[in-house]
Amino acid sequence: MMPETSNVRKRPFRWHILVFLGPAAFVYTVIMILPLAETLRLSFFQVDSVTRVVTFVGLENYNQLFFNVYWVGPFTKALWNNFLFFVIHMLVQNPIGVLIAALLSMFHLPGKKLYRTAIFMPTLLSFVIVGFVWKLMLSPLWGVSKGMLSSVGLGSWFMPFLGREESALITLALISVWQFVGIPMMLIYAALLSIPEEVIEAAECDGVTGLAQFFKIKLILILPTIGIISILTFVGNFNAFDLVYTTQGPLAGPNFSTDLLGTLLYRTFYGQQTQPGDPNMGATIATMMFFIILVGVAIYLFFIQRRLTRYEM
Amino acid sequence: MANLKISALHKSFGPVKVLEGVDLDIASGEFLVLLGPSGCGKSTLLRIIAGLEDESAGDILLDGVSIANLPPAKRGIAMVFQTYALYPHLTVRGNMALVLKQAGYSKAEIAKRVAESARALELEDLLHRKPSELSGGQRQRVAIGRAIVRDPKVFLFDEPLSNLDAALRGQVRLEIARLHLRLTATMVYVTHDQVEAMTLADRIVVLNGGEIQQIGTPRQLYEKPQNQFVAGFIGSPAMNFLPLENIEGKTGVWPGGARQKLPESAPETHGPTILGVRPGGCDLRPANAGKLEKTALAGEVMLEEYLGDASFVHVRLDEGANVIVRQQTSNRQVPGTKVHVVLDPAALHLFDATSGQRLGA
Repeated sequence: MMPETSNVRKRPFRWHILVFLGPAAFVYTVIMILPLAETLRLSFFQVDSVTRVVTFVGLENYNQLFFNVYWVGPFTKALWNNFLFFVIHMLVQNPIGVLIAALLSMFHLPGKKLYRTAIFMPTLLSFVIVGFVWKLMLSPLWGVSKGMLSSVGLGSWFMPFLGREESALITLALISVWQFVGIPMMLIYAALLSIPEEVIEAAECDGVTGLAQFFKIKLILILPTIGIISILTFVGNFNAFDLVYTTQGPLAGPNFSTDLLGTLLYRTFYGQQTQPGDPNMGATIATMMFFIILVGVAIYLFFIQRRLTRYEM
Repeated sequence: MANLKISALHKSFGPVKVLEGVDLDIASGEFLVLLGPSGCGKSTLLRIIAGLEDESAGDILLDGVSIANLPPAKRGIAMVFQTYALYPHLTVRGNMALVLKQAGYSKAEIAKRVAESARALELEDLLHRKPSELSGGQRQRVAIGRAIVRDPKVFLFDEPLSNLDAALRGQVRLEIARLHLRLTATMVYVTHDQVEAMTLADRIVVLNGGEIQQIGTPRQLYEKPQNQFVAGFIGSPAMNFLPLENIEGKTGVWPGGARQKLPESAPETHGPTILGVRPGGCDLRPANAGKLEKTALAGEVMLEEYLGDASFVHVRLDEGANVIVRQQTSNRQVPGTKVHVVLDPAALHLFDATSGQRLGA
């Protein structure tokens, strides 16, 4: 045994902590923190298009984005579209996900695993494939959707969904819902399965059955999971870009009606047709996206998640 | 107050037969315990009574009326689960009130009933708490409270004590016994713990392999087990079983030829027989008493389990069988000592070696 003097001796520096933390900290810094800082830095500069001189302009780029007519229109439109995109996901994707999960967990459905896999499958597909497939299906020229609608007597409902300003964004949102509905379904399904069987049986004995059982017991117990799904949807939607780019191109047609912050950022940063690329304004938009998501997540964490109790089950 | 009758109940899960023709008549106000090892079908039987599981065949009658096709909530039966199964998001009050709300009682009636049950179970100070803020024993009381607010005809308990620690188990057991005395309700209680069964039950049903082995009062089961399974299952440590060659003239013949005196009730003659004797029904003698050779079993002390008020001595007989003998603690036994085991004829149980059924009265 060590004598009492061990208290006096200084504890050696614990190098192993640094050694173990080092690689992860390094990778995270290089691929997350540095690009973020660099984006933020870029947004404070402007390059003269003729002389290529780089000048520090402070918040001038933000001033331009918010108050210059040339920028504010597209920016607010993209922001609004993005908001709609998010709302459609919240109102369609997540309730459908909950519904499917509830159905899957409730019945001894033959082929249950098949349904689960089939519904989850699109999530594994690339945006490019999803965009391309839906573009083909919805095409007024050779798409199958017209024939399918006609075959059930709804032929008159058909229109070029992706080609009209009024319907393009909603159509894209629904395509995205189709692709990603498997994620809320899986998370909710897992959450529903984690509710102890005996609690449900107790509810049966208490006469709390069917819909009452779902709303009074199950739904409340899975609320924390629904919260997580909401925030994942929010972050995913405000970062969305790929689907619009692959189906409608970088101009987010028709007439910018499907423009999201992601496509606006892309056009601004790299330039498109007559519009020259402007990395500094692009960085400004990227920073704004970052802050919008940051604020959204913060609101969720500080105001919503605290009220969602995770019940010990 | 209601009597519950179960007739010719069968249950199979696919090809697996869990219950094979169970008949039970439970009197009004009776405390009936279903006892058996895991997988004997006792929980399934309880769940079928509750309506959580469908029977494959047979009927369940409550006061003469079939309830087999009613949903659980309409059967007038309340169930207390092993894991308590409280609603984690509701307070104690909410947990107890939900069933009444669902049944459409008025607010005043709900408040009155919850208050009464809470008073009876000393839950009044806990009514605003969530289940996660309660101890195991308190949770179990809430689970019982949730059962009594609805004033059911029959209470079902599914191993309600097995999630509690030993000290609490005794206490809650006492509470359930008091509850039964006060409510005089019909109760069916499932357990694999024979102490719970013996202390609580008016009658015990011993189940094994989906079949009823014996129904009787705790005393009947302990003193007159109908077959070898019941004999081995009831009592701790378990009854010792030793094979007899046969019985001749009310005397047992050991495989070595030695003789064993049998109880008065033993049959005159019988073929191969299993002799059962509880640890308290045997005694140890020093091996050097040579005259014992003809009437006692020679063996060697393996180990001694000291329990304070008594000790259990494990003896390996020369023929190979093990016997546990209850001894006064003053009579210390050293492992390795050669001993003779003598059996008290009055304490012997005899079973047919092939059927396992009890021989004699």
